[in-house]
Amino acid sequence: MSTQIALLSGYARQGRRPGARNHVFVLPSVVCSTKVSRDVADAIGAITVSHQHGCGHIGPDITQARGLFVGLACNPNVAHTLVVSLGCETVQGRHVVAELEHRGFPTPLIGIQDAGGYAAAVQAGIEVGRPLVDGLDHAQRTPVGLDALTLGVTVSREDHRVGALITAALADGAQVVVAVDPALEAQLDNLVPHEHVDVTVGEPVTAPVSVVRNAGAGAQLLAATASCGPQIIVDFPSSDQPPQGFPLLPVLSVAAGDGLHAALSEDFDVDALASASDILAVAAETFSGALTRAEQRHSASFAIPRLLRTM
Amino acid sequence: MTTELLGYLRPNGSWGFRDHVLVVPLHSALCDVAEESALAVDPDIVSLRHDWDNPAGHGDAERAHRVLHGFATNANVGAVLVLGLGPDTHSLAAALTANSTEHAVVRLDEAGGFARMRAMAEEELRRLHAAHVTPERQPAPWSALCLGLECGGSDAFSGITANPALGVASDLLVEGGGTSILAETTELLGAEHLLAQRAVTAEIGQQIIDMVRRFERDVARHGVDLIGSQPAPGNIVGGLSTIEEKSLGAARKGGTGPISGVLDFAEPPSTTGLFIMDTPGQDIEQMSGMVAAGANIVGFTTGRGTPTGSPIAPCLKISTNSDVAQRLPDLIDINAGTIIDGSATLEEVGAQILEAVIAAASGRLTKSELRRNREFAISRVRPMGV
Amino acid sequence: MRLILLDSRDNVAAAAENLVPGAVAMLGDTGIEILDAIPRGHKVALQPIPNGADVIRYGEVIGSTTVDVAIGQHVHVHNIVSKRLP
Repeated sequence: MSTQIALLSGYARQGRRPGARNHVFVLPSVVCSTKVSRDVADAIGAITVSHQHGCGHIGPDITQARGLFVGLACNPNVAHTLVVSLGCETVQGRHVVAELEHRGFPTPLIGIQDAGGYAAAVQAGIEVGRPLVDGLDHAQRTPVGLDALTLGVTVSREDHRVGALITAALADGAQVVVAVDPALEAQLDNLVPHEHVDVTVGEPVTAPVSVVRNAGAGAQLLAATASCGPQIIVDFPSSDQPPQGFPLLPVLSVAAGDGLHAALSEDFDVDALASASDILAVAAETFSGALTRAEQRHSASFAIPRLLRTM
Repeated sequence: MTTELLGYLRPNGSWGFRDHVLVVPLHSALCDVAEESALAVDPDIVSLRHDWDNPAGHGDAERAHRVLHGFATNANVGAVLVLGLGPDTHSLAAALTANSTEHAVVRLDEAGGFARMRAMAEEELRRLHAAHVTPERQPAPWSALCLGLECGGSDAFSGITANPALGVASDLLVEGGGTSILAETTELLGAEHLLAQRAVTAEIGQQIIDMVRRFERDVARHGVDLIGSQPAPGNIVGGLSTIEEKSLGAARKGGTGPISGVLDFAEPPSTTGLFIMDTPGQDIEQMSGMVAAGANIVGFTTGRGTPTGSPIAPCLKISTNSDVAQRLPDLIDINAGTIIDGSATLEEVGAQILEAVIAAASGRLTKSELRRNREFAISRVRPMGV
Repeated sequence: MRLILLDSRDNVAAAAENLVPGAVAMLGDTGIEILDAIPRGHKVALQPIPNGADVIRYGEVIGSTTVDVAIGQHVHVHNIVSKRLP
């Protein structure tokens, strides 16, 4: 079943799929650099994320957090990234930058300790970041096929539309990356009856359907999925959870019929009665520039998926 | 001591040293509404930001609620706006009423949507802010002070200069009737036997040993390699080679005096004195745990330099070496590197730190407060929920 | 070129400044010939420390060596391991 819209419009990227959004991303590698990142982003008109870690992680959490950061910077919606580090943190900013360079994305790095403190780091961030933002002024969307779409799907409740949505997206030539709440693990084959490959957080997807492992739960699913490269995410939150957005990419929130969702009808992008093909049609419009409810209210959540306790 | 301690006496008999209007979003999806409402009313209003989305039945839920409630009821807070999804607001509202803290509550389910919630939040906050009158500061006894002891970005000098100097200040404060909290269980591993010897009872000494043993077992259970996490990369560049070495230096923040008890994460001390709290070593989780327990001022030593601060407690940054104080001056309040340089003794710097603690508590803003560094974190020890 | 000794039982001391090989660092009246480049704050061996022996700082055990360490050598993550954590 194809949607009515055969073409999307997106931002062409060299060596990557086109973006549905066009962001300069100021990425703090540690909680201690989030305020500098926020002040730089506000000054130059870029986006950033706020988190509470990047330090105190142990073992697989270090690899996963680093992979998450790298994957987010590689997302097609990101035109340029600037990494802001403190210098002493567990998930070293310079390692994130090294991996990005390895993947073909030369990325500037600001270190608060190396720069000379807070004010010096903000100043340096503005000097490096402003030309990146100015360079976005001339960017234009161009027509792209539906096969340019990587659709993210995050699932925190059972919903019969999940499988139908994936089927419809595949029929249009898109690829799909899915993350499912651990409580629904036993129902994975029902929710995603399609042949799929497993990917880790931050791993770029290439198969028609990929499932992200160790994606965490709740808002963490959004970050984990975004790090694997979708330009938009369709989210099925559990009925006791509100709709949430994500900083780098549009999140279409699909309402369940009950619980908290019944009280929040205006905050969902898709209601409880819409079909899978309705959802895909809204997704196509969103890709091409229509703002989600969360984007309209400038609301975004960012939560790092975690495996272990903090040290 | 030349500076007089001046504080706000709260209706419940506790003393605060700031008078914040605080917005507490109980769910991560409400943090943007909280921040926007606060900015719309007054830039000095503090709103918390975190990633806790209150999953049903989660193993860390009680721990998370203790932190959110502890911040809302900290004596440094004069008025609170609580934002929640719905019934999640009940217990905090009840706690604020019991604490006689001026407050208002806005629920997403009753607002019927984010737009309406945003409008209601701003309206309630404007009303709260306008109605709240900051009390007059009055002379306060030292028993009013609860000093959180912290280190972050440690280097090899931490255990030689800033930590022992902070320990001198802590000893003076506790001898004068105040309270100090030493934390970071990760960074007591290797020094716990020395701390246990100072416990006021053998039982408390055993609790200290048990606290570290539990942590060791938790790490062993996960079977993870700690290379790269403890000591952290910056600690290693700074000269710290093993967790024991880091801990022996970190424990010095607690001075030499007797240890009156062991606290759970975010558990308030029941008396004055020096306490040990079971927290992770991660800077912001630790600081959040101590402030949630009632710490109303934080002394934070650093070797590499870090800009972080607390949303509601003045946080004094103490450098371990003069190089970082000179290179990163906007991050450092007091330089303990003078001890290595030879221009000051340990006792002199300890007294200097205590003087700064009294002055900061009495109203002098620290550099992290001036910058509005307001880092806050929910601590997870069971991230998978069980 | 000063070394900072924290306890008389210690077999390492911290360099007060960056030290280069060949320099002679002073511990009170005693000179220690430095064999490695030692960054400021890092540890120098004050005695020979055989492989597997305890490294003492603050009068306490901070780890054990993984090779034989000579007087004046840099003692750090390349030749000391924790005895408490994996």
